[in-house]
Amino acid sequence: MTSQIRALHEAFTSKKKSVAEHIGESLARIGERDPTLHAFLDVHIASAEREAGRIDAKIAAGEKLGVLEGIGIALKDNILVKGTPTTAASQILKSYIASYDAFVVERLRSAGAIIVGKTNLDEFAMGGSTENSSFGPTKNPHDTSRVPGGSSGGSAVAVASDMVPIALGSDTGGSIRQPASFCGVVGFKPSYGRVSRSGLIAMASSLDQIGPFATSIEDAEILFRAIEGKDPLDMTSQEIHEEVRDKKEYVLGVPEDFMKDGLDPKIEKVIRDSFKKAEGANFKFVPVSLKDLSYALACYYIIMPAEVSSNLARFDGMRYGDRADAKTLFDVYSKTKAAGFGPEVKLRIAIGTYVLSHGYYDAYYLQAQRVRTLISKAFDDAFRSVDAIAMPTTPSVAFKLGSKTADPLAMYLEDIYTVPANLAGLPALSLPVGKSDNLPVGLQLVGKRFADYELLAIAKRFEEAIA
Amino acid sequence: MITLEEVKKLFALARVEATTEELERLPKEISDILAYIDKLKSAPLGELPPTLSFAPSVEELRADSAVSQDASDNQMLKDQFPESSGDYLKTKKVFGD
Repeated sequence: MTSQIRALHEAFTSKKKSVAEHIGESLARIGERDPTLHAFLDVHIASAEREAGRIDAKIAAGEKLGVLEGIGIALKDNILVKGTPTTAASQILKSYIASYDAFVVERLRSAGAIIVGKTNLDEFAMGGSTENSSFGPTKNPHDTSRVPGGSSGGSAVAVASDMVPIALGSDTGGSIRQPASFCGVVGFKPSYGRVSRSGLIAMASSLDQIGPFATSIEDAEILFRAIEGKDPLDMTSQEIHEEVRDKKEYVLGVPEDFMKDGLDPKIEKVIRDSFKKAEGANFKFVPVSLKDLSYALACYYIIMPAEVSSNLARFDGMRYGDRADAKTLFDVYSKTKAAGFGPEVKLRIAIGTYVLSHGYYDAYYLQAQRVRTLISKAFDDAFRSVDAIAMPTTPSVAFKLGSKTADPLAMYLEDIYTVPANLAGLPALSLPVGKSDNLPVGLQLVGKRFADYELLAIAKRFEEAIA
Repeated sequence: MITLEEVKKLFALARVEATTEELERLPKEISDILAYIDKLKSAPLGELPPTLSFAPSVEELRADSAVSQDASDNQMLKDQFPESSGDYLKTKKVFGD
């Protein structure tokens, strides 16, 4: 796919299109499409138009323009933008105004990108359909009776329906890649430690990463380059100097044993057809054994709720957000949370509290952390003989709204292919490779730790091969 | 199978008030999920150690000092207090009752 960012940059600098026109088109599309799709929770009209005017004045003065300068971007509403509402799609934060910019927002501002608005998500990023938003679900632009995936459903839809060229989401167990797959766009979760989470409302801190949505690998790479790097406010972030050498042939490992679990045969066909096309363009596919990944989802549903129960304890109605009226401090806490949190959030807090409680800690939490080592080791072994792992992003295409809301476990199984990369801290992306029953299918590529640019180079070659 | 009493205890530990509807629904939902995660018991772990984090070990900490902020930033923080009195954050008494 061609880069929308480069095309817009070229149009701005050659004065074929002004930044104000680009932002105006973006706002007009939101006005026209968002009443049906509900991708946005807040649109920053005044500040976006002001920024566009500022950059147009720079162009008029003959100043040089950075590649992201003037490009409209949408941000998942769990990323803080100073002075504006940031709700995490939760009632408990419905009146919260962020008092500082997230690290990624500072980076975007200095690169000159224009924040057009904040997008819908499952409450506190917990869910795989955006139906857990307390402000109503987002719809899939390919079929509005279906979910866009989640939790970053709003960002995926904003890009897929051409409301903005790029967006940011967050991915704890697949929350960028799964909606990207369901909506037919590129979604990239960088290596753990590559992008600072300062100013991202924490869900599960040993897994959370911020990453791009785009319509091409090149645009995802441009956006990633702008936001990656060390930040003193996130001690897990690192400065990585990565040298990418272009290889003549890439070897991709296909986890045949792991992929058997619940995969829709129609999706399998689209994925294998894309392999056939890529074989003609210097890709080689070999089977790799990753059967230990079948433990990943169970492992994830211990570690994630444990960290959720700890991270969400801060929403106690004391310093920000809503506060319930009650006589005792205990009642203020428990009534505030009861009124402010939705059903999925409460369920995960309860499971997290259970697995961390005395007597169960070793059996659940410690056991899960040991399984995490097993999964990490399985990937390390596979990467001795391949450049990346290739498998579907999701076991099925976008499902009908409401079809899984009554069964949390069925919803969790949607994450089966995406969760392993989070547990092992590896970079992973979803690339659209075709359709099944007129709905998009995503191929997932998982790379070596901190080889993010190499993974993007492989994906770019794959994208060209199947074009 | 997790019991109703255990669910009540979990909600109390987490400081969340449960509704009647939640207490009816959650024992089964939580039990289903716990049954699923039980499959970890059969994982071939041998002597593998836990991976608690992929973060680098911390060699350098920030200085433990106050970071000066603009008055407008301070005001923005104070504006978020659900209940306040002047510069004070108001809450229920922590001890007693």
